[in-house]
Amino acid sequence: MKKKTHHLKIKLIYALAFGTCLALFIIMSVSSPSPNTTILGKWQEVSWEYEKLPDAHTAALGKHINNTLRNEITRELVIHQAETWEFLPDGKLLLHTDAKSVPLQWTLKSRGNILKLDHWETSPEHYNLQALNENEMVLYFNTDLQAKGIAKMKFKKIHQKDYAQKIQ
Amino acid sequence: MLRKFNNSRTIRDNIQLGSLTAFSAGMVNVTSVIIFFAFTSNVTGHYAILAEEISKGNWYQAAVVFAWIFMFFAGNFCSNLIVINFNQKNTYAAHSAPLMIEIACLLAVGTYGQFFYRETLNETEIMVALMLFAMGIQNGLTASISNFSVKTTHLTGLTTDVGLLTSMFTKREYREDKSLRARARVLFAIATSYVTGGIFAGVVYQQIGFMVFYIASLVIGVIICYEYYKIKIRKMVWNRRKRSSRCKTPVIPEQHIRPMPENVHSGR
Repeated sequence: MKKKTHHLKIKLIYALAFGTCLALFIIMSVSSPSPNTTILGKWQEVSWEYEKLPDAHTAALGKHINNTLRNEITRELVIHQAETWEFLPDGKLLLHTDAKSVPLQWTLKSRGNILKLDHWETSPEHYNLQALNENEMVLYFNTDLQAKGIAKMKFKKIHQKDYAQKIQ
Repeated sequence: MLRKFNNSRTIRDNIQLGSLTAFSAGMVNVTSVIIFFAFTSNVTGHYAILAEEISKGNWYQAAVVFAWIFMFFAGNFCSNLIVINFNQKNTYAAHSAPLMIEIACLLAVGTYGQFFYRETLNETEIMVALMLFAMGIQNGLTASISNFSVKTTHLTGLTTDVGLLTSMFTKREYREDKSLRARARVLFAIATSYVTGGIFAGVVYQQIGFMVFYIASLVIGVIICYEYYKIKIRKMVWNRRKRSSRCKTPVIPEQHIRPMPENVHSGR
């Protein structure tokens, strides 16, 4: 009888431990939206900075990346010259420039911290999604898993209200 | 490789098991890094990321990483649960069952990835979780049956051991210690196989994509089949010996043999 109670107690402890893990997982996953949802909408480029400076010479010039340098960096990239990024729910990304809109395919990888952009003509590009919330998105270039990217792009979310005011 | 348990295992058993499983773990880890940008054979980094995501208040990402760590834990848990419950009944079956589950997981990831994967975040998270479970299963099995001396999915502990052993080998008394030298052989075999598996997967992935997981499964399958074959051979040899000992004509002492009449030999 005593042995049976002991077995039951052990089973209860295990069930409780696994149940707690499951509950923790559920609570955490409903506490904030998935990056897949947060990223949707229009994002305006705010700034370009160096996250890591390539050499001492560049360090002397400061962290800010000017337009000339930016064009040089993005020459081979699909995001070249785009100032507004619009993420659509069907996995489509529209890069709006003054003249036109370039369509791309976007997906998030890993735990939602890697942004993959697919442009059918070139090989896919990967960006490290360093920060993502309702108002701000920060992308790092050169998504090496163990090291931070060299360039940092900051975006501000254009909420519907702001956008309406802007186009008025 | 799979039939022996704990202290009855030889260095050769550990090297064979360690090398083959480490090769497959290297393949799985490198492929998952290339495809999913996430490590799937070790969880040290995931613990750090979990803490980072919690501190940033990214609860969704924290939940995902927590689930991944849990899946690796669950793999180890299931693996050892099978070993300790069925080891007495059938050692081979108890040791090969976790590997079969691992193969099933890897085949599922390979097949889904090759034919159905649409690159959504949810799919990525689930597939990474499945691979972590598979690696947990493998790590749990090798550690369990080798008395914790073989761990093949991550190299943190192994690198620590190699560092310690290398420093010990600066002294003659340790250099001449056979058990330490054997341990070093096992560790180097595992490290080399892991890296080789990783390089192989990195090269082959460019050609065959998700089919890499089929090759990783095949390597695990080799372990199971090799042991099965050895068991069969042993059984066959044993049966043959048993049969031949039964059929042997009893030896008659010489004094009991009567000389044959001469006409028998002449055929008259």
